[in-house]
Amino acid sequence: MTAVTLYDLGIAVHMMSVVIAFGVTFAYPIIFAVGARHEPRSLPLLHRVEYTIERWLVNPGLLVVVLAGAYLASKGHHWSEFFVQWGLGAAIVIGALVGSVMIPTAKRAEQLAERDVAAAAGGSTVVFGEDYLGLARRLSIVGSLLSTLVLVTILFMVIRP
Amino acid sequence: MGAGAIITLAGVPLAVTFSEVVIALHILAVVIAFGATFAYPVIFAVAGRYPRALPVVYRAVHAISQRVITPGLALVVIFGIYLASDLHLWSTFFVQWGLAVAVVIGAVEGMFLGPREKRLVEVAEADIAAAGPEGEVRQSDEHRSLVRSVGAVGALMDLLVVVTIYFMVTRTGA
Repeated sequence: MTAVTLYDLGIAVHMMSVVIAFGVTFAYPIIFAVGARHEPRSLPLLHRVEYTIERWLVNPGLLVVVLAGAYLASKGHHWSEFFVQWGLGAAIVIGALVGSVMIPTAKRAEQLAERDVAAAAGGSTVVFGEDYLGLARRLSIVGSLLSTLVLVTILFMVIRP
Repeated sequence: MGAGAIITLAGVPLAVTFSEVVIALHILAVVIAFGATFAYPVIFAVAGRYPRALPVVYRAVHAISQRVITPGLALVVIFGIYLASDLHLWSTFFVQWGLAVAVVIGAVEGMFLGPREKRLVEVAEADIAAAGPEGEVRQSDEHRSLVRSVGAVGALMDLLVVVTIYFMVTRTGA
């Protein structure tokens, strides 16, 4: 049996933070599909949930992923390797897209969805405007892109091309 | 295909073995299957302020259990079995722990959390119906009790996942 090193702990923290930070983003399509199908009036709340998760879970989790990754790359002298540079690049892209696209778009989508829900007062069917649907499409496309980036990055981290 | 088999692309050998690809798939399945559960505290903290939206939030949680966690867990186990067999790791502690945890999570999801998530939808809808269209929604005792039990057991499952990741990474007992 081999003793656990600080490097091993670093890998464990790195992987745990990936699971905690990014795992929920793969469930967004199901959360919004359930909301749209069963209770469209809940969509403003679901957008609020979305950007709150990104603020309180994804962003801090990403920071831990980067810090643990930087420790591992330094300790293992891996900075010149492709998978480390890809990982760092992916972290920058994810952080930038979450901060400059996902959070502001989800906040705007919440406002527009609230407007459309208020316009359908009295229990009538909610009809969402084209502006809201456009934002929802943008969230879906950028969210899928981020999820794909996470998947590809995990693949590169394991196979170390 | 054996663990050490080199994958080829259009006849060109890549420096990637099949077992490395399966390890990547194993980790991907863990991220997708269990990641969402770590966001539940945030989801419930936000949704708890809007009691009329709780039924749809509970429906979403139940849908995640059925369509993400359960199939994801199956993939985690299948890839894990392949790796343990191909790399001859069945006798190691971390593999036996991982298998036991997968069985526990599957059983708890199917027999404890799943039925209670469905019941949560019903009691949350009953609370809203009791409050009428404009009244303040008050949570029933059963609603509060279910939230406590699902929250506590869910947190325990998250802890199991984190501990298992630690054992897998450090290959405890190998």
